[in-house]
Amino acid sequence: MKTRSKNILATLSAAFAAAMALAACNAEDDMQLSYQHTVQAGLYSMHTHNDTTLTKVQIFGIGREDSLLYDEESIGKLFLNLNLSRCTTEYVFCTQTLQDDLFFTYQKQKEPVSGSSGIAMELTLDSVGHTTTFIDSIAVVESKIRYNESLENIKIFIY
Amino acid sequence: MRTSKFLFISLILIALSLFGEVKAQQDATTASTTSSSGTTAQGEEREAKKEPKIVVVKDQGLALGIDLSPFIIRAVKDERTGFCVVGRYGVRNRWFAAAEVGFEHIKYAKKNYDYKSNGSYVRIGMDYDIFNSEDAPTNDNVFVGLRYAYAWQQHESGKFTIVDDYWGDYEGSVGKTSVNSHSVDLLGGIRCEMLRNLYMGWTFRCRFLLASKHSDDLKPYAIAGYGNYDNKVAIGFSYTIEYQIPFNKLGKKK
Repeated sequence: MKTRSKNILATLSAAFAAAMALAACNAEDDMQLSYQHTVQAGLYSMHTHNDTTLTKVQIFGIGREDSLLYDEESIGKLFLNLNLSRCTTEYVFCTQTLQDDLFFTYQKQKEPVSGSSGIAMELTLDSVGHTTTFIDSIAVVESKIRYNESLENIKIFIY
Repeated sequence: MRTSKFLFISLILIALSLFGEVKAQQDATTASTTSSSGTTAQGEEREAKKEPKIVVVKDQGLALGIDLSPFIIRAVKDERTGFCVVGRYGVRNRWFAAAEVGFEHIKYAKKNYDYKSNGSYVRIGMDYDIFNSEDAPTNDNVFVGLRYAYAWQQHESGKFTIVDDYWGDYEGSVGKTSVNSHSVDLLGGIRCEMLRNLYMGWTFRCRFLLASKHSDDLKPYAIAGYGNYDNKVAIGFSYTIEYQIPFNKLGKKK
């Protein structure tokens, strides 16, 4: 009986040590947050409403003329970063010899992702404006831009 | 590296607990042998009678001590610093009322996220001793128990960064806000009397986060006395050293 008691305590202690080792092995989450504040835009033909592609596209932000976001690329989808330091962002959108401007106004709200990953920003598009050289119209289909969501936010209809 | 450090500390403390257990059993065995040797004639008479069922009543009383687990956690993970005081009172044979009070400072820093929190917690509950040491009467316990825990803390993020390769990284901060949390611990463990009235023991705990109220801007990285907020079920442990104040002592009866 005494031996049995000792065995019980020894077994429990060993189980405890094993469980503690497992608990100490918890992996840490080192996720880095980025690009959760990107407007996703699809290009569509205004005539057929089907998706379309533009060639030799150059896009840069106003204030960042020295840095092209897209450089001579053929694209059917755009990913446009919104400037988190401001509540408006403007882009120049060029294709071959044509040029249009895009304007975004939005609201920002801090959005905690998790205890260990930190904070993201949830954005809500208030308005999207544009010039009309080759862009016919823009439709906002999803005004919220949330972390870890991949949704098309706007449709750009091209002449 | 952390795991091996943790295991090493665990094994040392477990070895100490077992040493206390073995010593207590040796003492009990010696006492039992001494009392039986001088009473051979009486013993024969007693053998004829049916042996009554042995009921062991362990020492009861108020025990106060500290939980060493915050120091062990600090040695393994330097982001959590805490201190915890424990109390235990034998309300009935096998039943103990238990309370634990502590505080915890949490500091978590990553490349793009700093977090800081200061909080306190209180746990109250009961333990039930399932260890019947009828052949070798000791005051040791093997118990299962339940705790309700309430934690309150102030937390803030001094700096967070959202990476943006085009417009430049965005840096912000979140000021101090309050967090209030409720959780439940299911626990099991052992407690050994190492010296007279001095106990050492450990518990293994399964913690369930019931609710946590915090601001919309910031989620807690860890909850005081609980662990990582992101885990709705957390594994915990405690190593306690307690001194049992020998009042309300019922003694051992056979």
